[in-house]
Amino acid sequence: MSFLTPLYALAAMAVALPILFHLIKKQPRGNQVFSSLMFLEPSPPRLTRRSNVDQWLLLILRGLALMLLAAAFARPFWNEPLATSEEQASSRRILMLDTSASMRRDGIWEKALDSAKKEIQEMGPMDTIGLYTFDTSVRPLVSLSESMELLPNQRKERCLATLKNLEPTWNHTDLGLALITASDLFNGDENTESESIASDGEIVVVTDFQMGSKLDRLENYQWPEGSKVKVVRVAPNREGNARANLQSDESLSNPAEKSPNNAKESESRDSEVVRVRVANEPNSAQEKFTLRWLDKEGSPLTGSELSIQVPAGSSMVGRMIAMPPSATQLRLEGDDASFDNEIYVANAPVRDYELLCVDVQSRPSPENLSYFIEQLPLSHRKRKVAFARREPGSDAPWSKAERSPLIITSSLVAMSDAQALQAHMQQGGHVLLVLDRALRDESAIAGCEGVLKELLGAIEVTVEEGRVRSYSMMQQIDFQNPLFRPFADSRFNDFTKVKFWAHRKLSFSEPDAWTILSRFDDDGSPAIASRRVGEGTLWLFASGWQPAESQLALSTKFVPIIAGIFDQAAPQDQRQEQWFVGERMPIVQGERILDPLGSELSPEENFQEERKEESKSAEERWVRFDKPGLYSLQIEKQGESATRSIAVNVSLSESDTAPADQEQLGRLGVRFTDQRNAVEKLASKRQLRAMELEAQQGWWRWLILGVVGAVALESLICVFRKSQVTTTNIITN
Amino acid sequence: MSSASPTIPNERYQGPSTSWVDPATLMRIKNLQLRAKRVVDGFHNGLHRSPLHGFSVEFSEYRRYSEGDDPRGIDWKLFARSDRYYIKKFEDETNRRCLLVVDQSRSMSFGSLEYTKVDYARTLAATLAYYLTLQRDAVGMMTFEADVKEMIPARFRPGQLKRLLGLLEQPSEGETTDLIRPLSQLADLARQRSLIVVISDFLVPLEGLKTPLAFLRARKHDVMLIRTLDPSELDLQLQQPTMLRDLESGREIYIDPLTAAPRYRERFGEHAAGLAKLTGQLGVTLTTMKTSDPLEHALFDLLSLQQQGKIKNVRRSGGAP
Repeated sequence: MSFLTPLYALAAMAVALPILFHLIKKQPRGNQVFSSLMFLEPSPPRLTRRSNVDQWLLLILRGLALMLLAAAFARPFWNEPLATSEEQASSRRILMLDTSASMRRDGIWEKALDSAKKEIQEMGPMDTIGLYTFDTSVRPLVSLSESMELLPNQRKERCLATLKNLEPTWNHTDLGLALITASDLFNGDENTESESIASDGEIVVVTDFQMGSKLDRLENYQWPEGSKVKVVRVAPNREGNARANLQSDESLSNPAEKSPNNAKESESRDSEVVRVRVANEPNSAQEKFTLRWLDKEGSPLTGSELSIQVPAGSSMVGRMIAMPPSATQLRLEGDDASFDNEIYVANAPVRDYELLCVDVQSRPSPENLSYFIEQLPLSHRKRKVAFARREPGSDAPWSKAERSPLIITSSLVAMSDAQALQAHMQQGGHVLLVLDRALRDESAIAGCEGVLKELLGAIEVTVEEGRVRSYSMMQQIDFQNPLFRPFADSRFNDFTKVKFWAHRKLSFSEPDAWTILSRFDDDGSPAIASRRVGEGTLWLFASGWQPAESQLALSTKFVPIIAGIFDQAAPQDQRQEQWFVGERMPIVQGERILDPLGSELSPEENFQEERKEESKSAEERWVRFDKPGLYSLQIEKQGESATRSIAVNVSLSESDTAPADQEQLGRLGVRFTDQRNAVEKLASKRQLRAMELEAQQGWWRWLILGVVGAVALESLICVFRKSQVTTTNIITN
Repeated sequence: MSSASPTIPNERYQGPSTSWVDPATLMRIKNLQLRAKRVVDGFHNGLHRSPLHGFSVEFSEYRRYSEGDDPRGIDWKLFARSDRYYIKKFEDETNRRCLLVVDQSRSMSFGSLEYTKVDYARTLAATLAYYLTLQRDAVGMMTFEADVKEMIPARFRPGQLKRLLGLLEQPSEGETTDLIRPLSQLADLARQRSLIVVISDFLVPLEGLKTPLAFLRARKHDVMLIRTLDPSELDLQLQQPTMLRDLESGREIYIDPLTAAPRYRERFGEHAAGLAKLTGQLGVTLTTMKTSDPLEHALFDLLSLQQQGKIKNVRRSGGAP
């Protein structure tokens, strides 16, 4: 038996009142005053004796009336096993378990599994339970549709069994993706399933809910009304994390940024040290860390330590010895969360190039092309470009095209050189011929055309001195061409400040063979043109860049243009060496990637299908990195094989392990299953059910009837007894 | 009617009580002066049948000088006119100085009849005041509770009776009875020799009462204690077990009359005997009156005591005019 309003049952305690009154009855009726009690002594009380209650029937009737009244107000009802529609209804619940790398922290995975098990156990018996894991992507363990096919009593068992063999991955957390995916699972089901299934669903996310959970994806997502999220946050045994980060390209800094006086000194110093930034989480307990280079076997290299003290919540930059050749990774010691303490670094191969400039006068002078070429900053961390000058007509041997991919030559080049340059182009080299000398007479024109003929193998180009009134500018610039593509943005495409005081007028007999990159505005003749010659390319500049010829060398466009030509002459493998776990790297035919243990990674077929439309090359395949380490890329090309090492690290965002604020999700529109609301909802359901039962049974009416009966009987007895007493008194008097 | 006072003359109990005004009837008269007048008138009527016929406290005349009289009392003016010696009885010879002391403490507001003890005491005081005023005596009054509440000095002048009655009609708010302090203060206030009539229930411990009474007596005051008691106080007329609340202290005790009444009577009797003994030792007159007793008894007692010579404060000595 239950009560709808059990608090009213407390009124039954009022039954003590009649009992008390019946006992008090023996006390004198009211107080009687007396002038002075100085001669009186209190009589022994005779009140508490049980036998003093002589009106047992009245007492019972009064007590009964009160009890019945209290019971009636408490609205009793029998709890019948009535299965309400609420209990029969099933709801869909998805449990998303975070398997990101940060779940490898101390004790957190066990807690996550326990929480997940608990959540599954607490789900309703008829619920459709989907079990998914998420990190970078969402993977179904027991999908919703799979769960629907199972019998209701098998669902929990299946989910619990699946949890047993689960391990965290090395991927980073993408909670936004996980929530959107889960929410879309509900919506997708709503479209296909019948209306009998409840439209709402609950997403239970068991996660460490770190700051680096990547929620930005949710900003553009309209969170559906019916999907509710319950975030179950699990914390590691010890909070706090530190992460070391190599400041990129520090060791191969740009020499052009340094003053000429100390350029060498700086370079030598920078080549020895590397800057490492150590960031410590605000909730971290550790402050002292040691950085150490490790070799391939993981043993520390002596003399490479750096001790650094980083207060919690801040980051410090320390300088330590640059990566020794035998080192493969950087280890951060002193941090409890060890999953991101190993930083793998790939030793990028540095190629040596030579930029050859064929020009007169060894002595540097602004009147020469080489004066400006010499100062070009073409080196970076993957290549070293050395400058070399060669006198026209010199007998010195020519470097191979692989060594010096670009040869810049002035119009003063000797015919013997022209032959060598032609051979250079046949090997795949690039030649930039700059017509930097005014063609004042016929012999000069003939000499120039002779050189061009020698280079091209046929008379294709006629040259004459352009007629420039005051100055000329470049126009019709082909910004689609890779050379000018960097200038395509409107911020950089102003070439009006590059004025040409003099230029040559070129005319091609086979214009289609040439790529005209820009023209002069006065006569429309080509300013920069290129043409394939053999395996290589011939570039033509119709004017020099010396101050006497133009303002090109002094403009900001000069370096990108020459560097662009050099990049085309010496193409680099654009694929980076540093990757993060979960990223996919494109490889082409003849390339394969070996993981740190030496086994080959197989391309992801599914992803390849997805990317087929976007992919430029049909042969391109994608390889996904699953764990951190030093991978190796083996390239077999034209019978030659080369190996590059590729470093794969845990994503930087994953190291941001400080607990995030749940309100952040709320601000992004995510609706929560409030625990308090859930409890209240359950209570209100029970209350409704109780009201329903009570209304059906209506016991209170009978109880009120009982009260009326008891009171009536009591009144009758009282009246009867009173009349008896009165009669007795009259008789006595 | 019972009395614990051994000083009450037996004559008082003779004669039909119905000849006096029934106090219950008297108390229905609201006006205190009317009440007093009614009692005094009735008393005067009754005097004719009294064995003390002819006695009056008011006596003023010339009488012939006889040997042994104090020659100071001779009226020399009259001697000059008539050549005879006459003794002039001065007016103040009969001008008694009387101070009525009325207890208005809370215990006095008890009454099992239609009226309370304090009502009775006030009427009694008013009656005495009226009677004495008629006799041209100087009457004063003092009311007290735990302390002296108000005091009107003894005077004989027009309007004095009205003031006295006005004082009596003031409501009492007193709580406890403390006879000792008011009586001590009274000794200071009443410097002239007077008849001091204390109307109270005297339901106080007797230990401290002796000193102030002795002090009053030492100052040559004639002291008369009129003890007013409710009939139920005399024998604890309770029918059934009752919670009794003390009017003064508010203390409540449970009383079963079967067990408590004999002990009460015993202790009450002891207290009354103690009081009688005390007053006897000090030469103080004690009269006990139940509130059901006719008020004339008090006047009767007053006169009879005077007749017996117990009240001696009447100035017999004449003085020069």
